[in-house]
Amino acid sequence: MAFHIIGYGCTPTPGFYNQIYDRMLEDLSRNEILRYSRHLSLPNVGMEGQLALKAAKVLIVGAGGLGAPLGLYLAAAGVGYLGVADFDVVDLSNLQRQVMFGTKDVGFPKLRAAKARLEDLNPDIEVMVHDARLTSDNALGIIAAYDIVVDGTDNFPTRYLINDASVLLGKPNVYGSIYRFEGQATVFALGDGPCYRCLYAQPPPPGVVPSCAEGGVLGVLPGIIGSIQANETIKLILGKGDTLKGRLLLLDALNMRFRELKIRRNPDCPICGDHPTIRHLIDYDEFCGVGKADATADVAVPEMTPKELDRKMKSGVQPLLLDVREPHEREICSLGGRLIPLSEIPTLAHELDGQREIVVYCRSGVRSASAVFYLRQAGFQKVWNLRGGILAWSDDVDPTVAKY
Amino acid sequence: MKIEVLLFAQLRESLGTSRTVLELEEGQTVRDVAHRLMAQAGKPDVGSLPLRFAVNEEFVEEDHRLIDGDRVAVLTPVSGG
Repeated sequence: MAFHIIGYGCTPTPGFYNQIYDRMLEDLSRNEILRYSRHLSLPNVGMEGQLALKAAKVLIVGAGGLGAPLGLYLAAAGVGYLGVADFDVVDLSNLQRQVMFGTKDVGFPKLRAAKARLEDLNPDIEVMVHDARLTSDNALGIIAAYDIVVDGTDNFPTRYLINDASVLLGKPNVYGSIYRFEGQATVFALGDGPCYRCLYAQPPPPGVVPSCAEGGVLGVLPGIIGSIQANETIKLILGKGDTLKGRLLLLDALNMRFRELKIRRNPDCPICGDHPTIRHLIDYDEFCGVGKADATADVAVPEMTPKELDRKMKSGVQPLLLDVREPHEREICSLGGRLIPLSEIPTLAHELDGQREIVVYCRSGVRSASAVFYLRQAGFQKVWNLRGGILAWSDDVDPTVAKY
Repeated sequence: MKIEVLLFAQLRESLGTSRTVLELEEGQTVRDVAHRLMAQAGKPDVGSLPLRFAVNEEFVEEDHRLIDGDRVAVLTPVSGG
């Protein structure tokens, strides 16, 4: 069966569509014709578009809040070869937004649950799982096998890694990201369009931008943003309509307002500019300062385990407990003591009694390590980090303290 | 001149508003907007965030000169997923 490829609404990388259309050899089965009947009768999709979807290879990086609608909608749409990369296990706290998983999946690898769910949704596609954290060593090899990469990750190092790999390989990168009630989406590295480094050349310092676990996130928000990413991915495969290339779409879900900002390729961009200086993948943890922060937490900050703290308190020594979480977290659960959010430590540290022993805690022990590091630098001698935070306290000392 | 400023994510939270109007001198740039916002924000964390500016819905560099009535959107990176 032969097809005419007619005008595209966006400027693709030369060869991008050829790769997909060259693979369009198979016809649809009778079952597939029924399954995709609403697409087949849809202008701009039709039989040609559905066969393109079937021939397409899409990699979703991250099976989280964004990955859930991405996986479900791309599988349902009939993307023939769907890759999912993740290395995590389903946690009960994921189910508030990660609708690809069910309660029965809690405690099991995300990829196992995702593969079962997506193959149940559409047995006519192939689901490929990559059980690994994407790194500079494996990224090019994994992404090279796909036509499009979709960024559903939750951290800066992997976002820069996906960006650089997609630019180096000439693959479009369908980007989405969320924060509390706000989300954004665009298409990077498509033809003459911009890349993520054109938007943010440098990452923020580690620990300054809260994750979803620290800052919270409205459950439906990644559902909306991930669905927008799925929509853009499908349009890229079809070669129809205008994509978000060159437009950063912003959503404020609390006030339900969409805005878009024009973004151009930066000629001075170190990877997609006119004279690129980055020609191969780098160490993204180092680039984002993540390794350094961990080293600080592991080496330089004195720690106390929950059991050590418990013994100390039972022996009659009552150190000052310093909670560096946000006030809304304090409402969920607490170990008591003074509350000073991490961001206010520099301005309020002088109120603390430097002669007294201080044990600093937060949810998981990361923010409190930063606070201990700061207080030690500021001259406080008797300050310890509660290792593992409230989560570890709940596991090792008092299970009635809620984990969140 | 009057400049309308739109704030997002962490800046919106630390300044307690999604929109503000600044009175600037003629010829001032988006960098001056950043300085004014940082002074208002007061939180040391926010000062270390990379900022990007869009004037009238188009991203510009920090030395972009503003004119009366411009609308400046100020973005910081977010990474959730």
